[in-house]
Amino acid sequence: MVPKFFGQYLLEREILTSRQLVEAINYQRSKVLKLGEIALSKGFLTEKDVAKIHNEQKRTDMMFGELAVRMKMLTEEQLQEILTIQQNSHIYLGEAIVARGFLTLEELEKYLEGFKKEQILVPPIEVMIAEEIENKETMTVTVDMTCKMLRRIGDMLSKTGQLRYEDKAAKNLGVIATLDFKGDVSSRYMLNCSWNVAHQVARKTFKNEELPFDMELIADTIGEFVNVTCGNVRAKMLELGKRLEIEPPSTHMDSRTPEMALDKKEQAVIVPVYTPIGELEVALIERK
Amino acid sequence: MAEDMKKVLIADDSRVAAHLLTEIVEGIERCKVVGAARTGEESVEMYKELMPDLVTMDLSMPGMGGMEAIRQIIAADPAAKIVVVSSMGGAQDTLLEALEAGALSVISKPFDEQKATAVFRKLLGLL
Repeated sequence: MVPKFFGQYLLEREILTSRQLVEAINYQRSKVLKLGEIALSKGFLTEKDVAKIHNEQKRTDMMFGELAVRMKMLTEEQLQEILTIQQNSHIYLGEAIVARGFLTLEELEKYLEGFKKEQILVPPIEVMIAEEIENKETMTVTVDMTCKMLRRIGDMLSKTGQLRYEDKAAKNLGVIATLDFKGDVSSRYMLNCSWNVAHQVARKTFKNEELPFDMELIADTIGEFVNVTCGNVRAKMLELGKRLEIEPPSTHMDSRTPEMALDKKEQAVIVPVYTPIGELEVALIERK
Repeated sequence: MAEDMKKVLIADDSRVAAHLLTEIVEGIERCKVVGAARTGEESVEMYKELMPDLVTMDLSMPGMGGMEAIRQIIAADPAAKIVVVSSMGGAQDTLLEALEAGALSVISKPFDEQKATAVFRKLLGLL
């Protein structure tokens, strides 16, 4: 089971139609106060200031708050204050659904209970990155999601080892799949997988214990595994307030790419992951 | 092909995902996969050519990607039935964008075969 949000749960069960869900989400969004409005009501900005920031936003594509601080119209403290007020103005999707009349409060409570029961089946985050590193949150979510998918798709329990850095090249353990993250997090995810582990993921994916050792097929399966893992990382990061976009993955087998060379300006933060049948590494490659 | 056979187009750049989806679709009686597109552009072209009863659409594909492909297919045929099958489907922003673009449902990867089958059957009117 993969974490999902309440709206998807209702859609899957046909409790709401897609149109009703879209309407409820848009209603929910319309209730969030805009930062400019809050800053005006607090007297931090004038209408002229807000207009200036909006104009600048069109040119730079930056967030309102970030830009206001950069233009020295708001202090960091004022920004934090209005962000907190904005956060508190948020209404839950369930409230929006009831407000639009798609469910009664009693119905909502009943479905929420079912949703929560299903979410309990999702194992809690078990991976802890002890080391103080940049992008610790992304690294933790990424390693944790990889371990969850190893269990969900590959039926493998795993544990993590000591984090390390690499700035020249990563030796290919069998098959490497990489995928670029863009947006609030700019780095490259890399899964470096021994053939044993990769073959097990393929066997379980195809539900065929006798699956032949076809390297191309296994590498493709690892590419899809990485795609699925990173899509779920994206959803989790969005819940944490960070937006990232993912690109299609690319795969590299050890016969053709014995090691993954890093650019001079790049550094890989690597977490080894051990399973009963072999090892793998999860890495984030970032600009130094 | 028998006249009452339902035609399904699979759009996914992963051969593995396309294979798994084909098995699910062809496990449903009177259903046949008539094409497999690996880019957004291909899916739009193949839709116009094959006029399938259902499209399964991945979002993260090379080229224009699945979201734009949904918009172009719906622009060509507002009655098109599209279900998003994507690893990004679990995020609220993606789900909203896909439904607004015209998709009828969203299935997140890794998908549950039974749930996927139920969604496909319903959208194809095979309940």
